[in-house]
Amino acid sequence: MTDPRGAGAGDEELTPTECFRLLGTQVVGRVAVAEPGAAPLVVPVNFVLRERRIIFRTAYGTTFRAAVLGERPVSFQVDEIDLDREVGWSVLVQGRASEVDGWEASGLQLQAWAPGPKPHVVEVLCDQVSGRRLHGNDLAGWRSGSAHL
Amino acid sequence: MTMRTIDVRTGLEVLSETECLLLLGRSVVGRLATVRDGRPDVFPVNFRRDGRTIVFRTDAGTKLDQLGAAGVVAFEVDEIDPQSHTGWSVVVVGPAHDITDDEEPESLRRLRLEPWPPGPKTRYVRLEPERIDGRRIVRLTDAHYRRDP
Repeated sequence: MTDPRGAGAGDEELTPTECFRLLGTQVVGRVAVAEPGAAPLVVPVNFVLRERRIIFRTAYGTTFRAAVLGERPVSFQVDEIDLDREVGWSVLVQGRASEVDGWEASGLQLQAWAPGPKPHVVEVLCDQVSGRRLHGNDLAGWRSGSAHL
Repeated sequence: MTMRTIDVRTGLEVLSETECLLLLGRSVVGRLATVRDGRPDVFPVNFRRDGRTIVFRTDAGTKLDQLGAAGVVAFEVDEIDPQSHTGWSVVVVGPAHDITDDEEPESLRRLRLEPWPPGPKTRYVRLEPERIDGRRIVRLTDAHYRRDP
């Protein structure tokens, strides 16, 4: 087993096409930014997907602003895990983020769910996408109090 | 009447550590965020809150190397309802250590992280929080809140 995630034998790598198809089925993902000498920043956001661009609104914290302006690596993760059926998947987009100009004319519905003002619209441009399906063997026993006793 | 603290930048309610621990205690899936080759890597893992710490399992020779190199990791748990646009997110940040050989098998078994006995390569990792942050989406029409200075 050389997989960096150490996942089980039921794992199945997803093609880029399948990764983006699955991304398009979801509306919430997590944006992650590497911070030098610290743990990465991870924040959930609601997003829209347009032609492999992940677009969302933000109020810019210090770290995320620095990442966007400095064109530092940004990742975006989305998953769907159904513990009842023991199926799931996870997709990770790695790339850079930049501000979107002129988005008002694009017709995008970009209302952020969080209530504060979110004046900036940002897109994550994909350099690399990876994803995997999780099957029964991986997910068995994830639920609290399942049949271990 | 509970006073709410609102983060002015994001418009989100700031959760106390006690609230964060309660939310972590009723969740079983989180996302571990590390940095690999300068890029954030984020993937779902099955976990248990154990006191103030987070315990998850992985397989030997894989993710653990990444954890050691990274020093500190971020662990994010959320629950966001696409219908009501409400939800919360908790992020735990701190160093993560392989505890498989250091702790009693019985105490690890009590966490019920998987069917017992574990596979031969299974390792357990404990994340000791340096920081626990939580946010919740609330409606600004809620009558009672104060601005975070």
